[in-house]
Amino acid sequence: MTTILRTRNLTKVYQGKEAVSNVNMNIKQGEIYGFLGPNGAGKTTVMKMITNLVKPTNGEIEFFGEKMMDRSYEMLKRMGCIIEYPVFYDKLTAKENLILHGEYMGYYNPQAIGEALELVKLTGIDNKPVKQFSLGMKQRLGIARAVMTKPELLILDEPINGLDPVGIKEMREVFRMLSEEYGMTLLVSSHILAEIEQIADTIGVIREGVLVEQVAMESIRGRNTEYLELITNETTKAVYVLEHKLGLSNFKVLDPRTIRIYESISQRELNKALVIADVELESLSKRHHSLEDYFLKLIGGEGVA
Amino acid sequence: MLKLISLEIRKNKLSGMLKGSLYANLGLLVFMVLVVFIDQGESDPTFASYAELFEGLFVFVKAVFIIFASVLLCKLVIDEYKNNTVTLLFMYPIPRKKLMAAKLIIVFLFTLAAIVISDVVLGAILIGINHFVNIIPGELTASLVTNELYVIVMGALYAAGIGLIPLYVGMRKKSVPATIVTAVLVVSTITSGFDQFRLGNLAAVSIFLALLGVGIAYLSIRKVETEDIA
Repeated sequence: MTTILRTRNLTKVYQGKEAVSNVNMNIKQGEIYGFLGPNGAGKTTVMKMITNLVKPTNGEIEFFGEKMMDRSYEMLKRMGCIIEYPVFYDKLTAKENLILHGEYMGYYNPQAIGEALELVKLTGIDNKPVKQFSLGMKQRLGIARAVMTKPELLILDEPINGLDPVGIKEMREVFRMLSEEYGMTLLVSSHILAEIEQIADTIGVIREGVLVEQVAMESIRGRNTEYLELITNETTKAVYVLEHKLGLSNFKVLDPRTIRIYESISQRELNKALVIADVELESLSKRHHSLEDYFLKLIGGEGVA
Repeated sequence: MLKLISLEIRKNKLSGMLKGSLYANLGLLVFMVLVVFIDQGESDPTFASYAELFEGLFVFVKAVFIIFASVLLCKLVIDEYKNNTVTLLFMYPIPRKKLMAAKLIIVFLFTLAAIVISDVVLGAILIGINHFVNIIPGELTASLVTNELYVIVMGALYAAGIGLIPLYVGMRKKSVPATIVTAVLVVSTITSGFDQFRLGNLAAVSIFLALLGVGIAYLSIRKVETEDIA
């Protein structure tokens, strides 16, 4: 897969403080890149640099292999964005806003507006000025505006803010569809891990301006997700069975009653061995190590919902 | 550029400004007529001749439309920053300086046109009224008319430039009140003076201020190119 966007040592200094330091991001074509970090970690600043709103203090951005300069306006044609909060010309209606957007972007396709509105399920809003929209509606309209020009890279900053659970689910499906059917590349930021976890192919974790991790979801899913949890009052006996009867070594005694087994062994086999050895079992269950533990560690706990 | 200008006009629904200028003109007309009539019996009337009448009219028109220009600046430039729509605008594949220039051209041309048209129309109406009531003595000669037309056009040009001065404060403070207050201060400066002397009547002062306004516009356009949009 080709890399569509690459940043090298991207740094932004605001009043002597590094808001973003040495970020090296690689976004591959067609993937959904989840950009995760607590509030104020620098997500928006990075996105603003990518969209040329903020000029980097140091480092560079490459978009389709071309270096971004102060005056790289042509590149912006290939992006669709919502940055920070979806803003509109409030006194105009949704349609008027989208028409203007098309004109400014140099994208003329009369059907695009209807299609985009349909995509985000925003209907029956014909003559209302955007001022009267709820945050959720604005968010949808913002997504419609970003996708109506069929950009190659879609940049969405906290796109699910203000949406209700149904809306969140719908948008998740929209994102997936855009990625799979239109082959768009998405850069989606959020401070909510569960959201990112469900849609992203790659996750970049940013903390205090530093990209602390950039990893494919596949590899973390495979890394440490499943284990068997054994609860018993006879831990010593159980450990003996695990070690000598079953020949397991990758397990951990968490506390006097709990044992976690990370090796792959069927529940049935384990159960059988324990029963034969007459170990009294309270429970035996298969568990998922949630990614949350993994990321909380990276982010440092605070500020992540 | 024409396209950008027309988009700006559509986006901000500037046709409403035309209605506004019409009302302003009506107000000006009523005011001028009142001054002319109230003065009627006095020994030292405010407008003793056509030249004086026109001078008074032109000063008022200029003052009104320089303030109008600042309102336009707020709508087109300052509001864009205040409502954060500037993040949207500057993400378009169009050079920022062009977007900015389109806005300032609108302000300049609107002020210019509004002043010329108002001066001519209100002047003509006042002449028409005077034709019947004969309050202001004197002959309306062809040379007076051509001379006044020249004064109108030059005055409008200066005023259109001066109207851009509030942009300096506006861009720094990103504040609507600050911009309009600056315009009022500018207006009171150029109309200040005593008796028949007004600061704005010195060509050198007007030219200087007009160039200052245009210079501010130029610098704002240049600066916006490398500015961070926070």
